[in-house]
Amino acid sequence: MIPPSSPMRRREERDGWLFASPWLLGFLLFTVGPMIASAFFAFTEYDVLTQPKWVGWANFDKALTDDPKVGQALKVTSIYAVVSVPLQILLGLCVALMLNTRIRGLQFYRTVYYLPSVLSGVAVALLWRWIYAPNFGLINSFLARFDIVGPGWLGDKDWALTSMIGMSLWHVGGGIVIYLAGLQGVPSELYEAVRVDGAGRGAAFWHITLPMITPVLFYNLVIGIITALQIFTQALIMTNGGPHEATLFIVLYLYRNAFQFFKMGYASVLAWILFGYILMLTLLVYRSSGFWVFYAGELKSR
Amino acid sequence: MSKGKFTRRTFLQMTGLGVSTGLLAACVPVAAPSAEEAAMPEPVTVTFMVPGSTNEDADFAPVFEEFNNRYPEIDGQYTPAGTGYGQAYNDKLLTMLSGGTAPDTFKTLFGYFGSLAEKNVYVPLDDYAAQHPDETVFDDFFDAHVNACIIKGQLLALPNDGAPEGIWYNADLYDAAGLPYPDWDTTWSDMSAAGTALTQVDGSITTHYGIGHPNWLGTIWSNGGEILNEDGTQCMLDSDEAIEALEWMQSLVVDDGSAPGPEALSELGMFDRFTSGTLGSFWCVRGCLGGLRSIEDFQFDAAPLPLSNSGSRLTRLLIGWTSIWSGSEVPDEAYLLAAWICSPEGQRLRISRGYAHPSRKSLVEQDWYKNYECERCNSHAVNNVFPEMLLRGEGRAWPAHPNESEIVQAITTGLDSLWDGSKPAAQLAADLTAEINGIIG
Repeated sequence: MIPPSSPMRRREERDGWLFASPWLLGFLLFTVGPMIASAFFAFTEYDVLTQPKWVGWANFDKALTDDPKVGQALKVTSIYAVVSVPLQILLGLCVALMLNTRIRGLQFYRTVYYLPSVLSGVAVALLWRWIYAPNFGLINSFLARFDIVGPGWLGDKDWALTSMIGMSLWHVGGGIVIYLAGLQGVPSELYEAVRVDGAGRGAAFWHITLPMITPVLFYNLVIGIITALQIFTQALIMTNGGPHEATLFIVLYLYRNAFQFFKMGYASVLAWILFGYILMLTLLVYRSSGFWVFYAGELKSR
Repeated sequence: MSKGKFTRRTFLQMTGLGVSTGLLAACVPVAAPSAEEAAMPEPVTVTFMVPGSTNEDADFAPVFEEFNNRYPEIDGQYTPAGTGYGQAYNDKLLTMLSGGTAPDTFKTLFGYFGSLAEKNVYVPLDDYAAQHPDETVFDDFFDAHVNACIIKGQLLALPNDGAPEGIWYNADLYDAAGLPYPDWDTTWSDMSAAGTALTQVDGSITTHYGIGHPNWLGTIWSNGGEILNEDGTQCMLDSDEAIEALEWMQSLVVDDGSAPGPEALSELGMFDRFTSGTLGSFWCVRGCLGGLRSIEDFQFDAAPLPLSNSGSRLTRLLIGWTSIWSGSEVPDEAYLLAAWICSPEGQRLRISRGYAHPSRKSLVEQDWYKNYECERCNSHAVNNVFPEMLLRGEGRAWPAHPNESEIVQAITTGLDSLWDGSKPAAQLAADLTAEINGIIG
């Protein structure tokens, strides 16, 4: 045991801080710094090129009471997150369960399912534009074989958001890797025990697998919510918020205000509204986790 | 065993040694210049930024080569943003301006000039133009181009190009349908009729559209309508003339089905539809010729915009505003570069590859422009239609406004309702007028 005040302990501590310093500096300079700056700009009228002018709560007042586009953007973003995140979790878990079996060419399948998630957002967006093309796109061509006239997808205000949600499933590969790690961490003796007790596969999944991977589900849920609420690239490239602002996500609206309309102060308010929204949802999920997330060795009373 | 171990201490020692060696090496004095070299002053570096693309880079290469030959005391540097034309360029420019690292001279895109002018980003050029009359050759610019560079009586840019919009049509499709080509007397009604005749439908799919979306700005102007009043304090979109123009635009998509709607455009844009031979005509600037030259399967050509119901036409100009950054430390040299880029010779060097329209009257009279070779152009009207519209005074640029990017965004978003027929033109005009007046404040 090294005493806390020994030179070796102090040197260890100093070295630890030294090695962590690049990240710490980056975090302070490029995350905390801009956050403090945006907190200040939120109370100003700031066009980036001239000095900010203090306006107090006016930007907040406008965003919360006088700008219907903020409501529209929050609505669109929320619907996207509420629908796409559970779908991603469900699909990711199903594929991970399939990939967790012993079949030939397993490594190949795992690679294939993971591959889409390493493609850049821009490339994926362009690819999906073709998949959703109304006349000769992949989906409508398939539907046409059954004499079904497919919708206009990205060009149809009633289908544009659905199209975006469908596209979000392209990225489940990242989640699959985490689910697989979770599934392989489930002790095999638990399955042996339920088999001895005469339980079938369904019961084993419901009473062993699912509870044991709830920490993984919890992690993917939190990350999924945070990522979904910040969707931007796809909307910018594929629809630019249209048609009829059906895909006007909050980050896209923030970006327009900051870089197109020279309203960096107002954009800062939108950023803080989004931050508060994400924080609130994340805290809610955290609070709920006590009821449904199980950690190994933990005892929970019903 | 422990003697050969690579410890943390060894790592830190070696890193320290490497850094020290590097610092010492950096302090070694360079060889002294010869007397002749020492006598020559260092050229002043002046940077110029445009969005940049393979074609644009190639266009500007001879311009800068010649500039650096003519002005050995200035090192003119072409520094493309590498963003292509679009919002990404504006983002980069804005970031550089706010960070104090903007280029000395740069191009401003549509929708941004008035907003940046309001923030004193540009050096007023009136005095420079007066000091350098030979380099500026001011009277040779088209009036419409110069007017677009003046805000509140100050010249804030020189136009390095400026493209009027015309009609590009597929001559083979017109021939097959037995239709006359569009010309100076063609009206909106003629275009509607041609659009309907050229549209081909196979089951539920329109395989060929007869006509593209008219540009909203030129169409409204052509009919005598305005977006804003003269001093930019009031939206005028709810005038009868503007509403009539919007109604005509809407009729092409909603009533006739001869122009692609939003769904069809989400599949393939107008330019790609035209080059694939499935669009009868579309609105585009002279610079589109650069891309259209790749067409191999059919004959095409250009025509002036159709005459509106009021019997007039006014084409929108996309100006290439070339300005000097107010933070530049070398504004004198920057002006010489900007003036050279916009000069008749500078423009000739750049435009001779066919990708833009000059802002100079003298250039459109020169043989290289008038006889520009275009293999698939039916009658080579591409070489006279665009300048002719300008010489007739039928070209105009969007009037600079401090809120122009927000106004343009509001209109383009609002037009969704026009193209899918969810709002009558009059209702849309009223809604947009209220929204834009709110933006103007």
